[in-house]
Amino acid sequence: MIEGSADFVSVPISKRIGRCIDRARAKFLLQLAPGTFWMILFFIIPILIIVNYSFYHYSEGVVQKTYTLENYVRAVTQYVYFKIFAKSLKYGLFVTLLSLVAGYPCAFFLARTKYRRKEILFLALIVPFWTSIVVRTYAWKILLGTNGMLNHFLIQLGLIQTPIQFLYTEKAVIVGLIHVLIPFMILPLYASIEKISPMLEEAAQDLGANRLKTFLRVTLPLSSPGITTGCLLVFILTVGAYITPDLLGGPKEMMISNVIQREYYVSFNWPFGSSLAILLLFIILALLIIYNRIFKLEKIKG
Amino acid sequence: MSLIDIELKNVTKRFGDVVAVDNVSLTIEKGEFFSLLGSSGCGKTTILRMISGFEELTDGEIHIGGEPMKNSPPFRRPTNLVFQQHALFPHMSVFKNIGFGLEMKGFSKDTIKEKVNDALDLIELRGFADRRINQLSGGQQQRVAIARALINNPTVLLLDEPLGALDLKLRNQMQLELKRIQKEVGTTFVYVTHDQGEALTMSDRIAVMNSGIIEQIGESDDIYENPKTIFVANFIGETNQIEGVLDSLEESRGVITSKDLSIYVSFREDLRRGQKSFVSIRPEKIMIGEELSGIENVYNGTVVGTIYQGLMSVYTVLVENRIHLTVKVQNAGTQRRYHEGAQVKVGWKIENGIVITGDDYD
Repeated sequence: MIEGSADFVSVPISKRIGRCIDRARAKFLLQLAPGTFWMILFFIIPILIIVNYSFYHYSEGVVQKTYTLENYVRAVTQYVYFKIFAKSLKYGLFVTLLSLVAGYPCAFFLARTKYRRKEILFLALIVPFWTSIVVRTYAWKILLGTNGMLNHFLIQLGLIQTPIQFLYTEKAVIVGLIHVLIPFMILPLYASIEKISPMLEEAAQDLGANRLKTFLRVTLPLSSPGITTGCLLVFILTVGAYITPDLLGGPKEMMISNVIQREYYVSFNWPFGSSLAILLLFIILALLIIYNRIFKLEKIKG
Repeated sequence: MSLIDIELKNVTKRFGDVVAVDNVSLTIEKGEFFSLLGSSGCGKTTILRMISGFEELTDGEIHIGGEPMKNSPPFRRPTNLVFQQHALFPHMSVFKNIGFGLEMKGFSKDTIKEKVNDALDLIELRGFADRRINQLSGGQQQRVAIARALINNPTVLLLDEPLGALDLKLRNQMQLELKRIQKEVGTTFVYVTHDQGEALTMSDRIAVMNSGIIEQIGESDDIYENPKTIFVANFIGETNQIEGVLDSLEESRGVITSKDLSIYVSFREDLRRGQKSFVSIRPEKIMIGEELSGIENVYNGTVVGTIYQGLMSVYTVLVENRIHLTVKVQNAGTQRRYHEGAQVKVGWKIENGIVITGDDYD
């Protein structure tokens, strides 16, 4: 005991504080460990494996473990892949903008309604998540098919004589993607619109702004955190979409994920598929950095 | 003759079954500092929101500057509102906030700049133009909110408890500041508050509201000295109320009897014999001493409680073993202080016992 207290006195204060910090840091790292472990095991390592694969040589159905750049050269130089990438990004843009336009009024309504059972409205928004995307997308097939409900309905009404080709078109894919992804737009929008005090809108009106000006000058700018977050989520999810273009687009409307899937499971060209996947990853990262420059994502909290 | 800026005619507002404002009529003159005073839920804010156009009237009419306001949306009314929580735009600078109204009306950039700078001078915040709202203190935000409304040169400036969020010291300072600004610009102010001190300090006239109706309208001193209802007597300051019956009425005075105690009161036209009445006497108007002369109402009492407050001594006196009265005496050093159990005389001048007749209480 005497030894202990002597030790306590003899240790300089700076060192004692240092020990405290070490303990705090140890605790912090311990808390971080499970997440880090998970990320390394299921995210970093798989990506590294894919990066590794993307440099392998492939010929006549066999992967050869010699390193080459030919996969990337092919992916960048062949026009067909450029077209697929461009189309995926175009879909991303369309789906994001249309989701924003369609989702904003919905989010605004949710944020401002005085309806008492608001949770029911939220349930309606979230219930689709309980069903698999495959099932929900098949439902669109039934609706949009040549002998589907929409065509049947239009023919019964006498508006058309022969069925319209809805399925396996660009529009079908976009509609399907919006349906699946719009909650990712609405929820962040809701969160930021709900935080805007209605009093601010009243203040704008009191100062002579009509409804449109009030929206453009007050509501819209104040909801920008929700807009940037929602657009980011929907865009990334769209560009990487796989099931919806596969089921509603068919071979004609393939997006980049479908092409990657084909390389892996149809052509068994894993190196080339890997190079496309890595390319996609970097394109999205690059876009994110640009987006961040413009909209300052780090400012968005909660 | 003064001009009338705001006129409310039989204005009623119902929210479902709840009557928030019940058949209120009043006129507010040009350049007046008019306060609507009442506790929360009395309908004062609803009246303000009806004047500014954010609530529709269930019944009645509102005229501003002689014009009926029935179908005018808020952004077309010649009023501007200062909100309780400031409601400044957090994404704009101080300059942009103050200039917002002018921008909406399509003024040129130069005019806006000039006027905003004038406004910043008025609220003594020159040099703050480029600050963001969250970089300002509560008092500064409040001044910006006032400038943002005033710069539009409204016929009427409406203020909804604008000082409610500020601490006491700042509030007192802002009260004087507001009064100064009002005198300087000469705009009609309609001020909503639940703080009677605030209303008395700033207002030219006060309307005291209680559950949707106006109990009394008058100048500050009139409301304090001559409350017309028990509610007003209690809401504005403190008072002693003695309930009794008006037993006799002569040409110069009447007598109200309460628990065998006779209280002399001044004659008034509307008094009738046999009427149930209250006498309201302000604590500071009651005299206390061993001998009291020259006043009509004098009684024997025992001091049963004393509180020393520095400026004042507050006594609770049991009068003739029947009624408790609160008496406030300024500690001016000219009068002796009494302790519990002291036998004293208490009394007041006949005109200081205000009679509130039976119809006005229940």
